[in-house]
Amino acid sequence: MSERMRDALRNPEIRRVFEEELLVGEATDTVAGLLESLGISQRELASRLGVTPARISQVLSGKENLTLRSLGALGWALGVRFELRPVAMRDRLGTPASDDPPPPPWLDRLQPPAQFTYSSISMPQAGRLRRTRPKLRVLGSGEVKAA
Amino acid sequence: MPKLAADGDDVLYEGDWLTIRAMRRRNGHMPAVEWWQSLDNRGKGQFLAAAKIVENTLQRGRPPAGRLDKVAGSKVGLLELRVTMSGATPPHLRLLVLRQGRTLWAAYGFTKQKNHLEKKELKLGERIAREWREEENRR
Repeated sequence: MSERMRDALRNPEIRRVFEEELLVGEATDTVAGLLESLGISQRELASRLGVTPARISQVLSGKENLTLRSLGALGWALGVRFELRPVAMRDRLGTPASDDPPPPPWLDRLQPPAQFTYSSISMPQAGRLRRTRPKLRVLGSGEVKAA
Repeated sequence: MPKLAADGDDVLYEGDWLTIRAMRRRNGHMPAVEWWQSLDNRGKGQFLAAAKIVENTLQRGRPPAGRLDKVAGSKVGLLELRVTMSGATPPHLRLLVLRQGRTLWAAYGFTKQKNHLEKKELKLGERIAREWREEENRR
């Protein structure tokens, strides 16, 4: 972290604005990003929620605080769930909690478990799958059985 | 006369994935740093939050959703980073940047009451960016 940034975040007023704006901005940008990726218009979202398009526009501008209830409703309308996961700050400079004891260990257990997924099947795997594919036989009844 | 930033003091934001650095002009001035220095505490907090949000957006491939957009009519490929979103309560804080991988080079920052980007601001941003690029190519 640069000296300029570290100095700024040591200032309680700047740090507080940073934390507030980050949460509000992440929420609104995520909803706006979802609308774009899902191809859903603000008008359609408004209709799903039974509110005016102006209200959606107001929410997405970040002008207004989204309540947790509104966020839950937005998730319901878009088929996603917003989860609240407190994450311990790497440093607590500029916060009233700077001299507090370390955060409780259960905080870490609230994080989702690390997941590993294959982005695609590799060529050797694909080849083996083809080789081991069972031969199928269609019976008179229309039933399919392994030969 | 604004104070010249010390050598190497061009970093406005440094996250795990993204860095925002100010372009240095031939005369040594860094307009984006001078803009940052002129911000009040609220503006500084808003800028750092917007930088972190942009970092998250670029790193995860989330659509920028109006936070970082190409500037229409820019000949050097400037992007407009909206520190405060369109429709939010003024003043609107904006930064004109060029992207180079994981670094955003900030040409010029400004604060305004109106939401649209004015020609004089775009022209100044373009001039700073072009000058910076020429200097970079010379090195």
